[in-house]
Amino acid sequence: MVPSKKKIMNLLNARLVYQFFSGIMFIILGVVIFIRGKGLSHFFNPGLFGVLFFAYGLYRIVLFVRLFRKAQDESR
Amino acid sequence: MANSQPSEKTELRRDVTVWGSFMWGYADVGADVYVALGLVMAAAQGATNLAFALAGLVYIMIGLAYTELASAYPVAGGGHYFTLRGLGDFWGFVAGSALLLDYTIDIALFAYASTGYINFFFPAIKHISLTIGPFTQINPVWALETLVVIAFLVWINIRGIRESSLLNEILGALDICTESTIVIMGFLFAWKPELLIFQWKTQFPTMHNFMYGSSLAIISYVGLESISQAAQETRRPATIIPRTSLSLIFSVFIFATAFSTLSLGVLPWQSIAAAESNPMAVLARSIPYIGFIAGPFAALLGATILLISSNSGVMSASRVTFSMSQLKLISPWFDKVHSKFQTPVRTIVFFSLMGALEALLSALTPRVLDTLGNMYAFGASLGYLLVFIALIKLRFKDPYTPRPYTMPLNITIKRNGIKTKVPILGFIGLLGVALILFEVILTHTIGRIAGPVWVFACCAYYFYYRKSQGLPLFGSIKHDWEKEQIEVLTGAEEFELVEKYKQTLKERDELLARKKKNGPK
Repeated sequence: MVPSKKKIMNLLNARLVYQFFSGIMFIILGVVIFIRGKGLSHFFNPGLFGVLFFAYGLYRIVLFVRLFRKAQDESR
Repeated sequence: MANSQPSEKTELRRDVTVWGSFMWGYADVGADVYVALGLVMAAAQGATNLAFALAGLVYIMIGLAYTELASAYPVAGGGHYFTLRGLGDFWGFVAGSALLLDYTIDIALFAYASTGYINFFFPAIKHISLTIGPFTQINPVWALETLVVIAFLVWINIRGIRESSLLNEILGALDICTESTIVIMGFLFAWKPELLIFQWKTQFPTMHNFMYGSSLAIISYVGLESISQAAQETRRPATIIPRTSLSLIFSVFIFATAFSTLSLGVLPWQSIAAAESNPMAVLARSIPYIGFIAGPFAALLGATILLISSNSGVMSASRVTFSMSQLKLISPWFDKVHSKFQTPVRTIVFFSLMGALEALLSALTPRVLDTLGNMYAFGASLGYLLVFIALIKLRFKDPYTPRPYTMPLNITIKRNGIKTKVPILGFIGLLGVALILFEVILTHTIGRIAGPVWVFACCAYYFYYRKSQGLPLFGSIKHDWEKEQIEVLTGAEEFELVEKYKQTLKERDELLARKKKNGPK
């Protein structure tokens, strides 16, 4: 079944797109900081902040999943 | 004259959406890192990111407390109202006066910072320096620019022109995009982890400097009151406020730590500290490929968004004084509205003049922004400390008001047949804010004198006013809070919560009647 235009627009709203991309961005950022800063050897500065950004990215993805499910329910 | 009557029936429109509420907060709070970065860097040096992270942890707890209170009591009074509900009139006034001090500093600090970013395009202004008597390194041009900005804000506020919700949304979105671009490009192309580690290991500040830096870092989280102010103007705040304010709190925290971590890996801390008036523009300019455009763009955006922050100081002062006069903490004189523009002209002029005076006095010191930040932290930490105590007290005193959001980590106990949640995180937050207040008293040479002087002067006025009106000095005026709470929730269109509240009150009354009937055992 082809999804209706309204349904697609509901799933592509600004908040959802923002949550998804910001989540991905912070996860990548966390990994980049951790690897480039040799997070294991320098855990109390680059390591800790890498983990922090990664965790924040995950938090945003969790929010995205919740919002996405809600948007799906609403568009049904 | 009808127009000069206190605006007792003035209601704020409830037309802010979820996105609008988030962007309102972001345009206000998100701008603060533009000022704080240089100031904190000058104090916390190689450990700047740690200072931001520690202050940020306390800020997250303050934010969660505000989220709980603002969704339970969606009124614009903010911290002073919550404190008054929890601890009574006097402490409500003390919290209000501490926050009013911060609003006047907001006006001066952000007006200064905004013009500092404008001066990014006119670097010659930065080097103007005069010596007048014992005062050295005075920059009269920068001070004059700031006074012009404050005068402009007074003018637009008296005329009732406020930035529209749409403008806030656009600027907030632009700010997020710019900050994200700087962070991504910076970490990918300019960040040198070895520089960060080198500065961490060799440029770690003394304990005194670190404490000063971490207490100054609270500036980057200024504007939490906007959560409660947005609550008053948001439809169905109980549903919307927790969602938007949680996103706001974490976004601001993560950007503040990201910028400090990035800065330490891109430039020596001395370079950022030297550019105290426009650190974000200097950081953005150092990023390869985009620096030539990102620097000026960040400066322009910084100037605009900091102007909005300064304006929010003017607006917040008038909201708090309105709320305080409604609760008979200060004279209704402050609430007289302009006969033509229907705006609280006296409050706007009075508190803006205070801001201008603070700007002028700080202009006499060699580091203007640092002086203002030094004073700011006292008011914020005292106000937030009282809000935390009120949050804990209200959990026991008013367990009946529905709380659509409660701070995490609670222990449920049963007291007089009523379930009460004891906020463990509230106690941790209280300790955190108390630590920041301790740091302020220990390290802020100006704030620890100017802050208490302001609060004591306000208290003297409070006693005079209450005595002249025959009102209790340390006691509280009787209020029918239950009736008022129902009116507030009904006005906010939270009809489910109204029903829930009424049901809880009914159950409480039945329980009390049963106890009375059975008599004491």
